Amino acid sequence: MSSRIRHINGKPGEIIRNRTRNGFENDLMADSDDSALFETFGAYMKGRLDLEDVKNDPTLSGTQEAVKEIISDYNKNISGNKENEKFIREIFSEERSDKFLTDEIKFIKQEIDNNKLNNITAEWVKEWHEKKQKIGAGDPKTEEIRDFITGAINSSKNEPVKTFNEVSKKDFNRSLFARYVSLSAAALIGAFILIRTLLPSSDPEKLFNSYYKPFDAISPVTRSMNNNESDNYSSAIGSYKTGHYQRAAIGFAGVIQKDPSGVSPKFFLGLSQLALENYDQAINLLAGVVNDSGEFGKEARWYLGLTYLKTANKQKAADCFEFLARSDGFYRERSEKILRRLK
Amino acid sequence: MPMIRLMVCQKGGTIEDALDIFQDGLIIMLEKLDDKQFALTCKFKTFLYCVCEHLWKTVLEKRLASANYFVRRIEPEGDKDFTELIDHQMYEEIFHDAFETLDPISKKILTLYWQEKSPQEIADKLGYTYGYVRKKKCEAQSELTKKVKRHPGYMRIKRTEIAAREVVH
Repeated sequence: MSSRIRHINGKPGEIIRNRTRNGFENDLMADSDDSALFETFGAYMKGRLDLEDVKNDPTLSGTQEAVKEIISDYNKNISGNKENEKFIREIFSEERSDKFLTDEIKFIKQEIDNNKLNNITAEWVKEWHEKKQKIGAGDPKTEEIRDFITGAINSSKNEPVKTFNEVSKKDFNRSLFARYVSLSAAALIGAFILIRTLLPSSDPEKLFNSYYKPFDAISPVTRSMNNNESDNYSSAIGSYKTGHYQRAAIGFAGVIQKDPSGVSPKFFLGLSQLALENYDQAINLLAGVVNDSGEFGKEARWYLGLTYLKTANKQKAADCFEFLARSDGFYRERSEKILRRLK
Repeated sequence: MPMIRLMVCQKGGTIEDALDIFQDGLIIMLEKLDDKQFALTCKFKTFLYCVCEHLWKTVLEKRLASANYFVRRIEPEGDKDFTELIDHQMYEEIFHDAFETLDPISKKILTLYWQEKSPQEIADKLGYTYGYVRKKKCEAQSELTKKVKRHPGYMRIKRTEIAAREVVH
């Protein structure tokens, strides 16, 4: 019988942890066995819900293809990064005594001092906090990774703690082992992945992905338009805000056709083309808005810089961000950060 | 980990197999993250699932291949606990049956609870009050546990456990 589940039912003296979760503290059941049973059910359901979520993910089939190649490459390159493999295998190893951990921590601290990592990591954490504040609760990728770490930690705590049992000593050890390895491994790896995905690297594509967000269009009306143009423009803005970029592009193009002198429609058409991955057209339009030196000048230069990043034109991207870094305003600090990574 | 454990167990593996697969999956993901050309374009757990599923399929293919190649010898199973797989399938059935008999509101609240949502988030999503969600969740939790314990499959498991203990002692 499953050692884990076997010990849920009515063993006297067992200590069952009731984990608190997300504001459902104190929802304890009178019978500790019932609590353990519910937590086991919860672990099963969490796995099932995650599985359903993955199977309903439209990117699944594409990812499966990519993964076959990744694993094939990994199997060919067995002599690859042994340090990473050693790190994870050691986490999962049962042979980690306290002395081993103390020695390992001492070695890590020495390495930190030798490589002056404290300052670098302090800057990472500071940038992470700033990014968290700016993004707020909205970044789905960050939330997904955070939920993964939390889920992995909580699923480990769900396993009931068993008292020692001569008959199932091996099962007890296996279960204890199972509880702790996923906790430490998932937390460490998840934290590493979280930091890697939150902090932009110097790769232009990754910088673009980190900093690009659709523009927050606020006012759909400009003074230069008459009522009819204003309706078309307003409708196109609405399409942009709801992510219907093709429709938005058609709308803005129509407005420009009637009034070629308008800057705002060109700006938003440029943004729509950027969202539709028509980078050449986006560059032409946004560069036009920048050269006009009128409304949306800085915003256009920012998005122009991002478009150059996407097309891997680092020099032109740097020119845009250098201008913004020298100017006051919303884009100054973030332009400085991008420039640091581009150099 | 629960997702990987469920996937491996559903496909004929044990919890230890799931841990091994999870470990190997993490190694591969870490290797990939070191690659500057790599960009994660799907959900994180989708990627992890795909890697682990593929790894497990490879293991199953190898096991099948070695089983077909070597002459089968009858050997004592030793420490391998074949009943773990049976138990897992039985409990899956029990949990599924018990959950499906709950009322729709209880099912929704518990599903969101297992998705790590707070009481306020659940209340906002379903249009109930905070207090109602807390109360209903407790009731649903209690009812679900009772249904599991009353399930014929669960009672059968418990009877065999009691019998096994009597034999041992």
